[in-house]
Amino acid sequence: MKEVIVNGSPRGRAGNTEIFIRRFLKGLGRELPVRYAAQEDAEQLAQELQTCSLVLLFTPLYVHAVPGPVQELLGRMRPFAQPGARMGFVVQSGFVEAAQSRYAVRLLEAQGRRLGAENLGCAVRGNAAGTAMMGEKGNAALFQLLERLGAAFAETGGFDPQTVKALGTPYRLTKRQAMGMELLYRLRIGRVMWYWMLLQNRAFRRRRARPWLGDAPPDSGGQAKK
Amino acid sequence: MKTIWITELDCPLPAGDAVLDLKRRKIRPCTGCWACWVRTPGRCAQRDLDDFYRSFVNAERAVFLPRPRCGFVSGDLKNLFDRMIPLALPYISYQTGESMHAPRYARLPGVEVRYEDAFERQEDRQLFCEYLERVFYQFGAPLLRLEPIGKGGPQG
Repeated sequence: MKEVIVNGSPRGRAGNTEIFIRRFLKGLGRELPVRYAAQEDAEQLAQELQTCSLVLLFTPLYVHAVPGPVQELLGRMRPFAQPGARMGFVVQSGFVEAAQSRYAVRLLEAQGRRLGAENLGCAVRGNAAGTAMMGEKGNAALFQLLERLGAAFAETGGFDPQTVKALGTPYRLTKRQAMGMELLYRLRIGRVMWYWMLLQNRAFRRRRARPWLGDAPPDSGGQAKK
Repeated sequence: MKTIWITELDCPLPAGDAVLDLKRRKIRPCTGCWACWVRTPGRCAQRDLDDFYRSFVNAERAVFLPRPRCGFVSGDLKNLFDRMIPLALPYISYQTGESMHAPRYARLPGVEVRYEDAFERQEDRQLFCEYLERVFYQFGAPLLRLEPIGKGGPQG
């Protein structure tokens, strides 16, 4: 009986998804092997997962679904070898509202059904882009929820619906919230994190660059000028 | 009309148009480095898709010919979508009542999607179509057509 966590982040051990996994495992109270979808051969990993009894996929949201390497892995997976195999999913995204992950949730649940797995649920967390930068204190509420998700999983073998709901709040922005955040965006306050990174990289003046407009110079071999 | 074709299907395409053939060209996955947003704005650190970006941005029409896999877009096409984030700015606007990336380019080509309809379940077809609508809405590229490819082929 093999139980495995799959980290779907292209950033592997260096990304926010890994932080989510570590906090979940802390709550779980035991280690599970972690596999890295973007760093491994998709076909081989798919074959190994087929023999598992539990697969927990933690993944970032990329363009409203899972990253390409995770999609490749899912496309190669065949139905589980043994009946009763279980799959659970945790999706984290930079968008504030969890609803932005709704296509990913539908995709993952559909793939779970296709593979014949019992669906343990899909926990979604928005506003997570800065997790690695915010430290223990800034992430206190998030870490508490992830540890609770792991602890409840240790007890029941499933995702606690209350914790899933808390992680996925807000699901959508209220009109008032959206107006307030739009005001911060227009006042440039909502762009501070990006401006700071652009300044660090001496790229601030080029922040609105449109490098591919127009034809390439004839002697550039198709490459635009730097 | 200046057109770029992005294809996963085996069918003849008009000579002279730009073509990205996903069957023959492996798209490297996005690494999540954000260089295209904060180091070299608008450019991906991996240079293998520079010709695609230029053709796409300057096209009036982009025709996608996807071959769905296991009820969704293939990993190859998903890698391409992930690699299209240099076409947007990292900032998020909330003008529409939800999070939307601000556009980097004032105009992107009108998109047509003619997909191979090999879905086993209606719910997969529906998710596939709704997902594509969402992707091009998020990128700010108007989706003009989304339908299965007919017997007339991509130009039918």
